[in-house]
This record gives sequence, structure tokens and C-alpha cells, in this order.
Amino acid sequence: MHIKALTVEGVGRFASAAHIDGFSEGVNVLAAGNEAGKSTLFRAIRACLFARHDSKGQDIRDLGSDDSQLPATVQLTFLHDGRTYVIKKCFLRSPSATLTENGREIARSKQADEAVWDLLGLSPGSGRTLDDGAFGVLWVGQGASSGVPVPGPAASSVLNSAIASEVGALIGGERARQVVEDIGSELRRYLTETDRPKSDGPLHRAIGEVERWQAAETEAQGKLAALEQQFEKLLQLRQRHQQLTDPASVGQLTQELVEAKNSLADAHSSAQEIRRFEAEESSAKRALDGASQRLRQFCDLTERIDSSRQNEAGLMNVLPEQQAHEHEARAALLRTQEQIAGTEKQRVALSAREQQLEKLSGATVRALRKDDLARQLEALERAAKELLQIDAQLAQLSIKQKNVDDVDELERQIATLDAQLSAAAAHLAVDVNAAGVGRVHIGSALAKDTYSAPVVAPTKVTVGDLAVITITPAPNPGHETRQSVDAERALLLRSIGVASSAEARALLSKRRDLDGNRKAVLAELKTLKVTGDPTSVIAKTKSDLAETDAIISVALADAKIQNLPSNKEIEDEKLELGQQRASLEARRANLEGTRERQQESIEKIVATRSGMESKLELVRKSIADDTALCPDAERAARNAAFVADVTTAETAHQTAASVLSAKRQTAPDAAEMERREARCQRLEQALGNRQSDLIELEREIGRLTGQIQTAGGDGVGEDLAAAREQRELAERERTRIEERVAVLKLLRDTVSGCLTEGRERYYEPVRRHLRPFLNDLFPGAELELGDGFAITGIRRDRPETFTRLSDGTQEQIAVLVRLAMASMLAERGHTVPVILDDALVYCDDDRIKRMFDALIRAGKQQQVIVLTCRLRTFAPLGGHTLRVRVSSEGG
Amino acid sequence: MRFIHTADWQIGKVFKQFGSKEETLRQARLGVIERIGKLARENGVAHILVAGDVYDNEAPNSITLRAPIERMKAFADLHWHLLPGNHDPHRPEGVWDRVSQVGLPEHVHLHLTPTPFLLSDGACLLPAPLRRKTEFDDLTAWMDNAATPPGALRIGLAHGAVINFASEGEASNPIDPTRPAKAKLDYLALGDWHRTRQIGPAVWYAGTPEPDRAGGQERGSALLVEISGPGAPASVTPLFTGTYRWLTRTERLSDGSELPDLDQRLRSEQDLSRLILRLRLEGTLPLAAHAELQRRLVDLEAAVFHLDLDQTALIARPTEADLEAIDFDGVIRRSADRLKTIADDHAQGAETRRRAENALIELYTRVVDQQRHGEAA
Repeated sequence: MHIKALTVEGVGRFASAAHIDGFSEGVNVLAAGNEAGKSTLFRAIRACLFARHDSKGQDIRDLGSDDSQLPATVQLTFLHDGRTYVIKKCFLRSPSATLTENGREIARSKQADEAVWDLLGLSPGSGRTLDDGAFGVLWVGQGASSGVPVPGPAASSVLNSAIASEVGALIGGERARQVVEDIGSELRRYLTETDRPKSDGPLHRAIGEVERWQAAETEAQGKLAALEQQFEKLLQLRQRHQQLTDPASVGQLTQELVEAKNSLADAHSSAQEIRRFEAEESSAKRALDGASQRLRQFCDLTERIDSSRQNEAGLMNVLPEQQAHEHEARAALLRTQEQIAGTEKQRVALSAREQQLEKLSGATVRALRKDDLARQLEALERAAKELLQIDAQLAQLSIKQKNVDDVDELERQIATLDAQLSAAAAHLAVDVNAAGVGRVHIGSALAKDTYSAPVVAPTKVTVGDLAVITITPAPNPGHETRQSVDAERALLLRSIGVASSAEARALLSKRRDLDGNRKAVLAELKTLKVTGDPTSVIAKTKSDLAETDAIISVALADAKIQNLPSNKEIEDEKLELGQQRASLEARRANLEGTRERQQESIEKIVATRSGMESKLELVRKSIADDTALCPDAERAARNAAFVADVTTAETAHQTAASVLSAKRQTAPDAAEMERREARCQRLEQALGNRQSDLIELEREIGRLTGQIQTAGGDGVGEDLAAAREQRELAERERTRIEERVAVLKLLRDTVSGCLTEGRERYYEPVRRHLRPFLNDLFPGAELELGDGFAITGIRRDRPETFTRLSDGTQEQIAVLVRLAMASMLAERGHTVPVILDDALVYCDDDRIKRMFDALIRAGKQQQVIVLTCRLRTFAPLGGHTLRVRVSSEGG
Repeated sequence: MRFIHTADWQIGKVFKQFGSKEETLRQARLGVIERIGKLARENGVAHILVAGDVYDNEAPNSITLRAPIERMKAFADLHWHLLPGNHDPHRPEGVWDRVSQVGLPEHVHLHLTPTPFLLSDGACLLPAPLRRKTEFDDLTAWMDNAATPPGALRIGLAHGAVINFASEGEASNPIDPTRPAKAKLDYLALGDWHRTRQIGPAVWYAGTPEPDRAGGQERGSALLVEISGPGAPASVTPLFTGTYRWLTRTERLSDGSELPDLDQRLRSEQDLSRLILRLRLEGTLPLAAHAELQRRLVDLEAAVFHLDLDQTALIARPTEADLEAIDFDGVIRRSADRLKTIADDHAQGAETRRRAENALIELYTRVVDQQRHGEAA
């Protein structure tokens, strides 16, 4: 199909007739500005080809002009299979349709609508205002160029028929897709997208059931195992209970205990008798000990009386000798103390002399410094006096260097002015000849020989009395200036108290001399360590001198001498005094030691003597006390009585000890007693343990019995059997579902695989046609097509999802796919125009040139109509230029 | 002397695989007690000997515990002699102590110790109760020296596996099959084996009165035993007591032509609604026949009380016609061919092949069956 011409009237902005003719078979470009009506023309072509003429759909209503009362008329002329067809449709008002073939009307009204579809190979649609068929794929509306071309059923039919002729039909493809979809739908009941059991799905529930019943079974098994253990335990306890309650065993143990207790009672009786005999023996023993003790005490008393009497006699002999020793010692101590007092007096005298020597030594030192102080005082007083005089002179000289400099400056100005005035003044020259000598006066001075000088002030030349010639220089401003400077100099000289500059300089020189003298005096004072006012230093020096004199006078007075001794004399005497002191100290120490020893000796002698006296007193008291207890007259009788008592007690004790010994030999010993007691305890404990065990056993049996009855009552055995069967059922169900899922996945994967392979084969023709177009823009790239020719991705260096590409790239690929589809259809005789309405809006400069190449390539096989408002951009496209002629232009 | 010998009631057994029908089967086990009681009366029997496993386990709940006793109370004119078996051994405070504590009527006798028990009509019962699930000694040995009144019949009552039959029995509790001769027994009533079986002239397993598993006896039964006097041979007559039949069938299929006949044979079984059928199918079937089989099985399952189907040994082999029915060409057909290749590939694992086979059946069902149903609709 090739569009040849288009005429519209009452369509959109074209209220009156507008024509486009001269369509070529290749690339056609209609370039016009915005709102020129390009899209209107595009919609008009679509409506003319695919809409029923009597349609009242929105698309058709939008087609009409707002201000036109005419019907919207579209007439399209196209070539198809070598014949020229003209389809003309009037919409909205007085709708009509006619189709002519090579100028002959072949259909009208509804037949005309459908005849066009038959020509284009489309099935008539019902209720559709605009067909979304094959041409919808190839026609790209404004703003729709980036949309992926997804053909509708009719479009697919055309493409399919084109492809089928090359590769054969894709039989069962739709059924396979349906099967895959159905399986997928069922699998989604079981699994998530990541093939995990879907929450609340059958598989998930089955797994949950298995886990639930496994847990229940484990719990029931645990309970049953516990019950089994309880049964075994109970059996053991019952056997133990039977053993403990065996009458024969209990009787034997009881009999043994009775016998053991009897034996122990016998042993206790013997032990009690022994304890009584032991008490009797102990009593006899105590009586014997008492008699023996009384006898010993009596003997001790008599022995003590005798001994005391011997001690008394001895002390009486020794005591006088001891008193004599004490007297002698006290006399020696008195002598030593006197010697110590003598040494103390010598030490005091030595100290007094040493103090005198120290004072003399200090005075000697001060006397040596006294002359220095006197000389320093003299120098200080002289320098202070000079400084005072210089400061007084300086105070009267107020002139400064600046004053002199200022005077000099003024005098230099005056000299300059004088030179200037002289230069400018008339020159007076007088030659006095011999006759005039003495007669000619210039001013007040007498002129001699010659006189030559400039006249800078009125000058009188007196020639004797002949004439007085007054020469007055001409007025000059320099004179006033000079007078002013001169006055200023005079004022300055007066202010500094001088008459001339020479006097000023002399005064300045004098002031400099005085300044130099003052610095020299200050330097001298500094050598005397005076930095400030020398008066205070002078006063302090005088005070030091007076103090030195006083110290010397005191030292001489103390020593009672007239003159100070020399240092050597003082040091010699100090040495001698030191030797005397050392000797004195040694002697003193010796005497102190002697005194201490004598005192200690006296103390000992006194103590000994006192001890003797005390002892004598005690001995005498003891003798008196003891003899009071045992008078010498009764000693013998008492001794005999005590001896008799001891003899009687000895006899009684021997008798009791014999009886005790005899009993001990026949009674059970302690070890035997212990054995009998242990046996009784053991047997009693055994019986007690048996009873305790029995109580504990019965308690445990009761507890176990309760537990068993409770568990049995709960029907744990039935629970376990039920849980086990439930678990097995759940496992079977889970396995069944898992197997079902595995089968479904296998089937889905197999059918999907076959479908993919078939589709790959089926789409190859499209790809083949697409490849040259694609390489124009994307060399080496391959497109991935999905169901219904949908573009799913592009493979360049790596696979890329179509929707993730940039808008521009998506648009370019979408246009290329349309070109390829049209190319394939054209190859099979189904030539269809590709109409691009304001497409390629996202192309950069490079891409759009490549797209132009692709469009030109497509134009070699099919008609390409490009509608654009970008005149400059699309200029390089070339192609055939279309123009819209409205009726007024065409006349 | 007439008595009924029964065993293995296993009251309280659970049947979870039957789902909502479980309780029906549990009640059927209790109902058998009443049927035995009625049969005893009909046959003039005074004593019913239960040779162990009255209960399915030794920790039944309190209802299960009481239920059989309550059934027996309705037959106070009969003496019920209950013996602990390996499922319900007698242990202190175990199931039998609980039964005792519940309070037994006088005509229900528990034989919990190996002690001779004089039956009312000149016979002496020598019971050998189990005290644990597994005994390694022959508990009937005591019968050899058990003293009984002169002229009294000596009837042994035991539960366990007869020696040389242990591999078929449930427990190892051994019983010497020559015990009647050694102990001069006139009859040895045994339990444990869920199938009525005579072991010797006077040694019988009664079987269970209500079957509970596939592969055992089909119909529940008890034994009516009549002994005219000491040393006389026992006359044993089976009495059918069961409500449900447990039938196991294995059928081989080859091309599907057997299906109508198989269907008819299975449906000709008596009391289909009380039939518990375990059906194992073997052989190979074309896909069309396989689909037909599945439809018939759905119908059969609705007809019987329960259908336990095992098709693991049944292989689906698609024929060329099956594959053409799927499609002559195209994606679906290629998918079917690919699955068939996997299923026929003996280098693949059994699970992979089986899975491919099932996938093929699934494809056939989805494509062909649904298409037919769509056409039919």
C-alpha cells in the first residue's frame, strides 16, 4: 500500500478543503510548525482507513471542526496491488463512504468500510471505532513513538501469516502458554516467587502439620517413656517393700537386739559396782594422804624453828661489819664531790677569758676596717661637693644646641640676602688722591687710597667740607626681608640671653664641658657604690665609723688594757685556753665517774645492811610464831601421835585397793562395753532404718501410683498412637504435595523450554529484518522479543531490560522495530506505510543522523511519512517534501 | 463343655488414616463384644475366654478403659475371662489395676496371676498372663505342674508367639506348641496372631473379632469350642463377628482393556460399603487408559468404606495415540516427547523417571481431558 494523496475538509483546523498530494514511494517529509494541523491529518488518515463512516465515537467527534457545519470529509488515494483506490468518508453529518478502484466505485457505505479492511488483510472488527491492527503498529502517533509496539490480535495475525510462510506456524504456542500459565497459577498456591513454601499454602500447611504432629508424638512418647519408667520403678519398689516387710527377717533382727541389750545391761551392772569400790578406795586413799600430810607439816614446823634460830645467830654476827663499810664509803663520796666543785670554778674562769678574747678579736677586725671607712667618707664628701657645684653652674646655662642652630640658620639667611643685595646694588668706588687724604669720609670712616664697596644702604661721602654726597640705593624688597630676618635673629639672641652668635656658641661650649665633668663625678661615685643621692651613703659611713670606735672602747675596757693586742697574740692565747679547757673537761669526767661508782657502792651497802636487818626481824617473828604453835616442850609428844595416825590410814587403804582390783579382773572391760553398746546401736539403727525405708518406700509407691494412674487416665497410650498415625498421615500428605509440586515444576519447565525454543525460531525472521536497522544505531546489538512480538530487552555487551533503557534509546528502538516489521511485510507483498508523527524527539545529534539513515534504508522498500515541526533538525533527512494546500491556495 | 475363644480385641485402637470414619471403626471394635455375647447365648455358652490384648495399649483413657466392661455388664449371665497380653500387660497400677479399681461385676474375671481357676462346669482354667510387653520365657511352662481337680478339663489361656511362628507373631513372647501334651491340656486358647489358625490338635489362635489392618484376616471371627470330656478332642467352629472386611488385592494391568473387568470384579464384592480395600496396581497403562482408571477409581472410592490405593508399581506408558491426542506437533507435543524421553531413559534415576511420567500424565490430563470435558460441556 502506498498513500498517494489526501484531502480533508471540515476536519480540525481545516474547515475548508486542504490537500496533500505528490506522496512518493520512499521517504516523505511534511515539515510544518506547531498547530499546523499535522496530527489532524494523521488522525484523518486513520479514521478514513479504519473507522466506520457512521461511527459516533469520541475519536470521530474530535475529528470535526468546531466552526464548521459541514461533515468531516476525508479522502485518501492509495495504491495497492497495482491498482489505485480512493476511499472517501464523510463523518458526523450525512455520513457516507465510497470506495473506487481505478476510478470505478466498487463499494459504498458499510461495504466500503469493510472493503478497505479486506484490501489490507484485516478482519472486520465489530464495535471498534479505530482499528488497532497491523497499521496501528506501524503508525506512530504524536508522543507515542517511545511506546513498545505490541500488536493487537489482528496485527499479530498479519505478522504471523508473514512469518509462518517462512518458518511454519508456531503450533500450540497459545495452548502452551496457557498450560504454563495454569501450572504457574497452581504452583503459586504452593510456592512463593523464590520457590519457598507459600505462607498458608497447602505445602506450608502440610509441613506445619508434620511438625505439629512430630511434636505431639515426641511429647506423647516422652510421657509414655516416663510411664514405662514409672512402671519399672514401681515394680522395684514393690519388691523392696516385700523384702522390708518379710516377718522372718524382722523377727531375727529383733531377737538379736534383745540379746544385745541384755548383755549390755550386765556390763552396766558390773561397771556400777566397780565405781562403788573405786569410791571406797579413793576415800581410804584420801584419809592416808591427810595423815601423811599432817605428819609432814609437823616435821616441817620443827625444822623451820631450828633453822630460824641458826639464821638469827648468823645475822647478828655479820650486821656490825656491814655498818662500818657503809660509813667508809660515804666519806669517800664527800671527797670526790669537793674535787668536782673545784673543777667547775676553773671552767667558769676559762669561759670568761674566752669571751674577752672574742671581743678583742672583733674589735681588732673593726679597727682594721676603720681607716678604709675614713678614706671612703672623704672621697664621698669631695665628689658630692663637686657634683653640687656643677649642677649649680648648669642650672644657670639654659642655652641648647637647637638655639645655636637656629641663630646660625638666621645668619646664613642674612648672609645670603646681603650677597643678593650687594650684587644688585650700585658699586661705590672712591680713589683718594694725595690731596684728598684725610678729607674724604665715607660714612663716618675716613677713606684712604681707594675705596670700593657696593651701596646697599644710604651712604654719605663727605669730602671735607666740600661736599656731602649722599648715595641712596634704589628701593629693593630684599632690604625689608633682611631687616625682618635680622630682627628675628636679634629677638632670638635676646631670648637666650646673649648678644651675639659667638657668645651663644661660647656658652654652648661651656655647657658641654660642665656636662662632661658631671659624668666624671657620677662615674667616681659609682666606683664608691653610690648610685643615687650620695648624702645618705655619707651618713651611713659616718655611723659605721662611730660604731667601730664604740666596739673597740668596750673591748679595751673589758680587757682592762690600753691598746688592742695583735691578732696573733689573741690566737695564741685562745689556743692555750683551749688546751686548758680540754684538760679540765677530762678531769671533770673522771671525777663524775668516780662519784657515780661510789654512790652505787653506797646504795648496795645500804641495801645489804637493810636486808639483813629486815631478815633478822622476820626470823625473829617466825621463831615467835612457830614456837607459839609448837612449844618446845610439846614437840616430842606431838610427833608420836602423828606417826600413829599415818600407820592406821595405810592399813585401811590397802584393804580397799585389794577389793577393787579383784572386781576389775572379773568385770567386762571398756572395749567389751563399747562393743556391746555399738551392737545395740547398730541393731536399733537397722530396725529404725528399715522402718524409715518402709515409710519412704510407701510414700514413693503412693506417689508413683498416683502418677501412673493420672497418666493412664489421660490415655497417653492412645495419644501416642493417634499422634503417630497423624504424623504419618501428615508426612504422606507433605510428600504427596512435594511430589505434586516437583511434577508441576518439571512440566512447567519443560513446556516453557519448548515454548522459548519455538519462539526463538519463530521470531528469527523479525530479527533478521531488524538486524540491519538495529546495526544502523547499535552495531552488534540483538533484540530480545517476548510474547506477541513485545520487546523485552536488548543485548549489547550485556543483556539490558528494555524499560531500563533511556527514553531516547527506547524511542529509537521502538521506531526501528516498526521499520523492520514493515520491511518484513513489504518483502511479502504487504507494503504498509510507516507514519511518524513528531517522533524522534529524544534523539541527540549523532543518533538522529543514524536514524535518518535507517529511515532512508526503510524508504527503499516502503513508504515512510514523517510529520515534524522541527524543520531545521529534519532538513538533513532529505526525502520528498510534502506541502499542505488549502483550497484558497489551490484556487 | 462349651466356651468361646476370642482374643485381640485391642479396644482403643486409633485409625487416623480413615479421617472422619475413625470413630466408626472404633465403635465397631466395641460392638463386637455384644456380638460375641449374643453368639454365646445362641450357642449355650457360659464362658468366654479372651486370650489377651483386650486393650490396644496399657494406658487407655478412662472412657476406653470402661467401655468394654460396660458392654460385658449387659451379659451378666456369661462369664468373661480376661487375660493381659503384650499390648496390655499386667503391671502394678497398670491398666488391669485400673480396671479393678473401676469395680468389676462378678461375672467378669481378671486372670492376673498364673493361678488355676475352676470354671463352674468341671473345667479348670490355667492362665498365663503377661507382666511385661516382652517375655523371654515361656509363661505357659507352669501349666505342666499345675494341680487341678481330678476329672476336670485343663484349659490353657495364653498370649504370645508359638515357637517357630515368632517371625509372624507380634511379639517374641514364646509359647511351646507342644504345651498341651506336656501340661495335659485339653485345649490351649491363644491370642496375638490376628488370623484364625490352628496350631495343633488342641491349640488355636482365635484371630481378632474385628480386623484392624490390611494383610491380616479379612473378616473378624471368634471360635466356638466344644470338648466332651477330659482327653476328648476339641471341636472348634469359627463364628464370624466382624463388621468390616479388610480386603487386599493386587491387580496387574497391561493396556487398559482389563479395566471394565477389574471394576466389575471389585464391585461384586459383598457389602461394598463395609469393605476396606487395599488395592495395589501393577503393570503399565497408556495415558488414556490411565486417565480412565483414575476416573473409575474415584467412583470406586466412593463405593467402598475406604480405598487404600497403591499405584507405585503402575507405570504410565504413553502410546503414539496418546501423544497425538496431546498434539500432532508444536510446543505441547514437543514437551510431551521430551518428558517421554526422560521417562524412558533408564540412565535416569527412578525418581526422575517417575516424575517425568507423572508430568506427562499431568500434561495429558490438562490438555486432553480438559479439552474433552470442554467439548462435552
